[in-house]
Amino acid sequence: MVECKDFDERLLDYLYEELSAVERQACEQHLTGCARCQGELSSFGGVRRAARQLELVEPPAAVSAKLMYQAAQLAPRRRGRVLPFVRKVWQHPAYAMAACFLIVGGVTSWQIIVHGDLPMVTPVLQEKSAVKSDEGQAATGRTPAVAATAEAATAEAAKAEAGGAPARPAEEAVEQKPEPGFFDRKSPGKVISSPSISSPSKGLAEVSAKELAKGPTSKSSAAPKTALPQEGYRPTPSPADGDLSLDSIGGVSKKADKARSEAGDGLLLKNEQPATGGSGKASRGAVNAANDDEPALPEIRRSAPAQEVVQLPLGKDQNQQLARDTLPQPSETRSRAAKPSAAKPVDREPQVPNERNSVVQASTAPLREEAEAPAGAPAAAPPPVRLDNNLSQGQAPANRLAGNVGEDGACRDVELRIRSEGQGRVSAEDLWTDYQCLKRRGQAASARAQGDLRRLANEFPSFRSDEVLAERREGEGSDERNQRQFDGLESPPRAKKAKRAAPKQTESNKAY
Amino acid sequence: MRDDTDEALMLRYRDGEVRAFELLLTRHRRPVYNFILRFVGNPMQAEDLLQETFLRVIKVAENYERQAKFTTWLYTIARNLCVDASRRGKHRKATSLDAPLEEDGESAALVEILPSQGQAVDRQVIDKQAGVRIQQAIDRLVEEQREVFIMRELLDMSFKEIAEVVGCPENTVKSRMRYALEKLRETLEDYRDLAQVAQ
Repeated sequence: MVECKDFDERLLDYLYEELSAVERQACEQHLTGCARCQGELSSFGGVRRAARQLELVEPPAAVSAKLMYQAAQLAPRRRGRVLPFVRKVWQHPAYAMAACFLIVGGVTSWQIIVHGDLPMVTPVLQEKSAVKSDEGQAATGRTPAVAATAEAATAEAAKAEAGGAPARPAEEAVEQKPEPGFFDRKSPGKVISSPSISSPSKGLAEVSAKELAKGPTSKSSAAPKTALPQEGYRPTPSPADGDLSLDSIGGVSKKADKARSEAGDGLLLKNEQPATGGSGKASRGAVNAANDDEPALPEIRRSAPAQEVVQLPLGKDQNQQLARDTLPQPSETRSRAAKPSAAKPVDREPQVPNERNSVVQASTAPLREEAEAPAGAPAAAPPPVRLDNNLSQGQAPANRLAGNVGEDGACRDVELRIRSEGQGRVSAEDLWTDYQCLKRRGQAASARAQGDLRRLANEFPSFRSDEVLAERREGEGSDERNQRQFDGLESPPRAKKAKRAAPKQTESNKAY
Repeated sequence: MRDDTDEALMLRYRDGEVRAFELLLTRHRRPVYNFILRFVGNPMQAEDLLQETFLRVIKVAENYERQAKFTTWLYTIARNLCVDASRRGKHRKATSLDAPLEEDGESAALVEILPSQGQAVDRQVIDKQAGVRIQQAIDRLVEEQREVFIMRELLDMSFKEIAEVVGCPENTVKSRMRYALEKLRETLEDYRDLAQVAQ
């Protein structure tokens, strides 16, 4: 039961309707029976009704406009995490400096990591390195032009020396350059012991530079150094080649190879490229030793047996011929070889002095002492050699020395030569030599070759005047004579017959 | 955005959305202005206080945290400004319309001397007189009673919210409200007679 005191405490809540339903119901029950409380409630209700007479006044629009302007001007900036930090860094000098260092350091590190070097510094370094290289070339006496010449010469030599093998670029040749005083990586048993030998490219460059400075020089002085590395086993040149110099015919090169084979340097290692011109210091040293009697040969020769060797790609007959050239020659024949034969007719084609034999004798002179030692063995006895000076039969010498035929009338491709005689490319005397070679080897020319031989013997007086017919009549008698000639007991009868045969050869040449 | 609460709009304005503040101003400018106007009784001062109230909202918006009701925070600012203004106004001498022209207290008030504008306007005059009397009665209330009465009658705030704004217990607010109602009842006895005549 709500009394007046309790209702007075709850009068405002009842007036403003903030009582619960139960309390409101209890108050209403009290109001129904209490006039005083009803009067009090109505008086307060009158005040509320009077207060509701007060209307809400609209504020001036100008105030709202000012407030919106102020709100737009003083509105808080959009909050973020990066912008306040950047603003703080930007406004503080120390932070700004630290940020600059970080940015520069980061960019530099990134450039180094990605590019491996600073791209800004690289051109400067390249220029410095170029200047240094120029200085180095100037210090070594090599000009860029000489270096370019050396590279070109190296490439040319690689092409010429490769033969059947593909030509190696100059850079590769430089990479395979053995360094003095070290073991060759590709041949552990071989010691590069010659400190005076320079790198191949450099040597070539020097030679080329010297040649450029000298201009055209004599063959005897320039040929051994310049032509040796470039001359190797060329493919068969065309007979039209009129170059009969030693550089082109490769005689010196083969002598050098022969000297190398004698000195032990001609035995190439398995991984080594065969006879690349000037690519190896040792080979060049061996050649120089063969020509200049340098004492480096015995050292290299002693080191050679410890290696696994591979023979040069020479034919069996070529090896025999090379061995034959190293044997002592009859003095008479040697003297004849030194000067052109008087029996040669003047009206023939231009004669080439027998430089081959002279060079062979000069180059093999110091090696004969070594070759004479095994000469006593029966297996090393070479077949008799017919040395003639009548090689100047048109295009025959070039074809003979540089081609597949072999430089000394080797028995290889004899039939081809016999057939070529019919076409006028090989002289009858060369053909005779080949025929003798076949006979010594117990071989017989084919029926076609024999037919050609007989045809030639019947056709040409010079050929007939030679011992072809006699050999045909006498059979094996010529071999015994050759053996005596080889032993130096008898001079070849051809020297006597040459004078008589000279006018006949002139006629035969007219027949060509 | 229009359906957002006052607190959400205030947070948006804190994040830089001026549009949110515009909505808040649209919602609260009228009751706040009337609260200030009834509190201070001077429209010009009320305008200034209204502008100052919302300027304080703008300035402190960056550090606003959702800890209390926005209206409670807003009226607290307005009330403090009004209290400060009323304290400063006590030192100023102002002429009251309903105050007796003479000091004996029996002479007619200024508002009673003003000429009436005919029969057609009797109702308007009575209404206006009723309003003036109510406003005079409110102005005569003590500040504590006045603010509570205005908040309760004009702003329809609960006693609990008024207690939060004023910063006093709820029962104190109710007590102040009761004293305010008793004073207004005494003041409006004449108005009741006028109101009965007008009806």
